[in-house]
Formats: sequence, C-alpha cells, structure tokens
Amino acid sequence: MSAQRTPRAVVAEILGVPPADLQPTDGLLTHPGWDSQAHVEIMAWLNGAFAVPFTEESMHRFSTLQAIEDHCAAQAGAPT
Amino acid sequence: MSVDLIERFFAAAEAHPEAVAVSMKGAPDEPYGALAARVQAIAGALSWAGEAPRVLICAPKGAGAYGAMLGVMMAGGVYAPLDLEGPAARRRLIMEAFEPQAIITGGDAGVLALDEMGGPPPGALVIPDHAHGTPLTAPKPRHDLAYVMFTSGSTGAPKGVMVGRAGLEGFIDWAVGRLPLGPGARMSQFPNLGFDMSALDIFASLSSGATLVPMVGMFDRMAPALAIQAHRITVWESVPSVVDLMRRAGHLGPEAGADHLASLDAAYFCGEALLPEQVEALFEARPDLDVINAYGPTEATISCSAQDLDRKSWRRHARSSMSIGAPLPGMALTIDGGGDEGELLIQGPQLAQGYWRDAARTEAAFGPEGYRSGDWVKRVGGALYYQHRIDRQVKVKGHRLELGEVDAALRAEGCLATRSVLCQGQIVSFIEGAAPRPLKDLRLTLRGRLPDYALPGRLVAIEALPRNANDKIDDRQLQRLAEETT
Repeated sequence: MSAQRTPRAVVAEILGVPPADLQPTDGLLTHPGWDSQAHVEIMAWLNGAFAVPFTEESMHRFSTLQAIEDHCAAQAGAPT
Repeated sequence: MSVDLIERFFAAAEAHPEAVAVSMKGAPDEPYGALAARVQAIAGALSWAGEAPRVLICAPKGAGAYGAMLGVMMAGGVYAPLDLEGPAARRRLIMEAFEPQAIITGGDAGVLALDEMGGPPPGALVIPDHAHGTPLTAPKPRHDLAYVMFTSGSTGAPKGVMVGRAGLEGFIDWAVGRLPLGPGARMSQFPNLGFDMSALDIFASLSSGATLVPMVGMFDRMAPALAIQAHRITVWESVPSVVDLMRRAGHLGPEAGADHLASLDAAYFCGEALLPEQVEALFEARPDLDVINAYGPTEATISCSAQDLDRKSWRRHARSSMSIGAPLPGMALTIDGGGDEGELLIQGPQLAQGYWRDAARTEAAFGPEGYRSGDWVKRVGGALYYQHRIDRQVKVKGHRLELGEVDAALRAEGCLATRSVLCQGQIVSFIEGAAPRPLKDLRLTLRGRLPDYALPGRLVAIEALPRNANDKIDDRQLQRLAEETT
C-alpha cells in the first residue's frame, strides 16, 4: 500500500468496506471488522508509511480512524 | 502415578527460591520463595471458608491470580477462574452458577470487576490475593476437582466443565516432560484466565522452576512476535491464529528486518486448527523451532493429543490443516462407528468429571464410549485430521462459542427470532422481523452481554428466517445467504 493513498482508503481496504461507509469515530472493537487482526495490519501500514513504531502507546493512540487521519494530516503538513 | 501439583510447585520453590517465578511488565518480579509464601497465605486465609471450598478467582493475569489458584489447591478447594476482560453480566452468571464460598480478588481490577458483578453473594468470604495471616504449612486433603472452567453454553448460560485434579496432573506431567521447561526457561502466558489453555502455562511453568511471563496489554496481545523478543520468551503457547497476527504485522517474513523469534525454543498450539501456511511461516522465520500441534476440548483437560512438527517433516502431517497427532499417555481417540470418518470419541484419565450441576448434559456427553467431542474427524494414512463441528459450536479466534449464546443475547435485547452462522471467520446474525433498535446500536448494547470475540460482525434484518420441511431453521440456507451478502 502506498503512503500516497488516503488513510481512509487504506483502512477501508483492510476492513473490506467502501471508504464512504467509515465514520471518523470508527475504530478497534467499535467497527465490526476492526478486530485485532485488522488493527495490526493498520499498524503495519502506519509503521511502513510513517515510521510509527509498534508500542503500547501507539497501538492505543491509533485505534480510531480520526486519530489516524489527524496524524497523517499533521505529517503531510510537517516541514521537510 | 502422576505427581501432585502442589508438591511439584513447592519442590521447585524450595530448589530455586531466588529464581523468578513470575515476570510481568509494570510489576516487580516475583521470586519462587515469595510466590510460595503467597500461596501459603492464601491457603491459610481460605481455612475460614470451610472444608473443600469453592473459590472464584476474580483477578487479572499475574502472580496474585496464579498464587490464588495454587492456594486453593493447597487448601483442598476447587476454583473457577474469571476472564476480567469479558462482560460483567457473563461473569455474574458464572458466579451465580458456581455459588462460591470465597472470592479471591486481585488488585483494583479485581475489586472493580467484582463490584460490576453486583458484589459478592451473601456469606461469601472476599480475600485479596496478597492475603496476610496465618499461613497454611501443610496441604489439606486434595479435592477431586482442580477447577471448573465455564465455557459457552447454547442457552446463553455458561456451562461449567469439572476438571479433575488427577487428570490435570497427568497432563502437566506430560507437558513438563515434553516442553523445554525448567530454571532459565521463560514461558508465555497468553490465553486469558477463563480459557483452559492458560492452565498449561501456569502449572507447567510453575511446577518446573521456569519463569512465567503474562502477556498483558495491547502490545503483547497484538504484536506477539515483538513481545516474544521483548520478553525473551523461550516457550510460547497460544491458539494458532496468533501466527496470523505476526504475519499480518509483517513480523515474521523477510520484511521483518530482524529475527523477532530468536529466543524461542518451542511453540505449542492448541484450541483451533493449525494451518499449513502458519507452520510454513514459522519455519521460514525459525527453521529449528520445535512446534507442537495439540488438540483437545476443555472436557479432555487442555490437550489430549499432540503432533510434533519440525522443518524437515512437517509437510507429511499437512492436509487442509495439520494432523492432530497421537493420543497423550493413557488417552484413546476413536471414531464413532469405527470407520475412517466420523465424530471423535475421547477416553482416558484426562476426561472431565462432567458439567457443573447438570446431570442430563453430563450423561449426554460422557457415555461408556467416552466423551462425544462433537468434532468430525477423518483418518488419512493412520493420522487424524479435524474437519468441522457437528453442532452449532464454533471457534472464533480460538474461543469456543455456541452460536446459540449469540442468539440468546440478541433475544435478551428484544429480538424475537434470530439465528447466527459463522461465515469466513465472522459471526453473521440474522434477525427476523423488526429489530428492537437500529442495528448499529444493537451491536453496541450486545457488548454488555457477550465477550468481544462473540460479537456479530454483521447483523442482518430478514423478513422471515428460512425453514426446512420439518419447520426447523435452515442453517445451510442462512450460510449461503451470509456468503452471498459478504
């Protein structure tokens, strides 16, 4: 998966749902398909695309679409 | 004759009092000497609960819960463990069914969990897992039972499997001999305490002088390969789907960038079918790993058969899933009807003593031919392979679940007629007629009744549930419908 794609598109593909069906508040255990298997895949994408480490803190922090979108937006706007 | 578990534990504690018995992040290491003192103190406190007490363990993973289990055995009692991460309503049903004379709580989490369950029943003694007082120095007469493990029941009420102390000790004898345990070894404790596989980790590790490492928190549970590396685990035990977590996180293949499993000597899998692709991924990551595929329902005390797997020969034991292997010492596996395919019957000293206060169900499941597993198996070339269940019991992420329990929870939420099926690993629940509230809200409220793994992945409103000629709900048609709408 490319870092160029929107986080919503990536998460939707992992969950197997249309991107438009996702709400910002959807997340681990609140969305039917966002289980532990999907969560590690989302974390693996964040790790590859944004060097987000697998830690207790990050796994909690990025457990909603909103948090992921906010982080990706901040990264995109960060000075290079 | 197997060795008494309490004797085994105290022998290990006496031989290695300074060795770490329990190592958990966020808590000080607990040496064997300190754990032995904890066990004696808990056993001493239980003398106030009467002879052969029934004890509910309401504590999270950790030295407190493990000490409580051993303390109950030392006090001549029988325990029932709770999964504190499960819904309070389910824990309360277990408490009401077990009618404990004492409840051992662990930390704030245990106290809070008991409070959520409505508090202890009248007359029950509540003991903290760090009990002080007069320690018991010599074990009381053994209870016939080691524990009562409450599993999913088709009516919605959990059913208690009465596991005998001698059966458990026979199994632990085998496990301690088979696994590379002993001082210096570090064994994972991954399954929740309400899942019988946790008893393997706890009793095999603590009766051998090894260090038990509870896997707690999201990192340990969802990034197990990294957890193995971080905690220097040498013996791993879990359901096989944990290997999928490692693969999906990219922690096993060449992209992992590091050998996260370097510390691992052995991996023991049980609880669901081990798949060839999972074994292949493990051997690609660690060619010299000692892999054991075990099989066994709770009613046969954790595992009743096992297949050793190594890199060179594992493919010989692979079909759509891996062979469930040979029976453990004293156990016998036969196929009902004597053919090469049918329901697996299990006999031997590890069989449970029936279901808690349920003579009818016990009689139906435990007959002279052995325990009727409900598992359909096939014999190929002398080896047995699991095929599927013959009833409505399924495995979801390694957890045993009666689909009837999901339907019962939906009915309790006001649905009139429901039927759930398993489709591609996901529970799909069909609801006949008008649902009592929007389906998304309904799923959220179900979280108060069902553990997370039992929540339907999809709720589907249907005008009328399909029925067959006998007017029974047609599960096959629902299964097709679930597949078509995926």
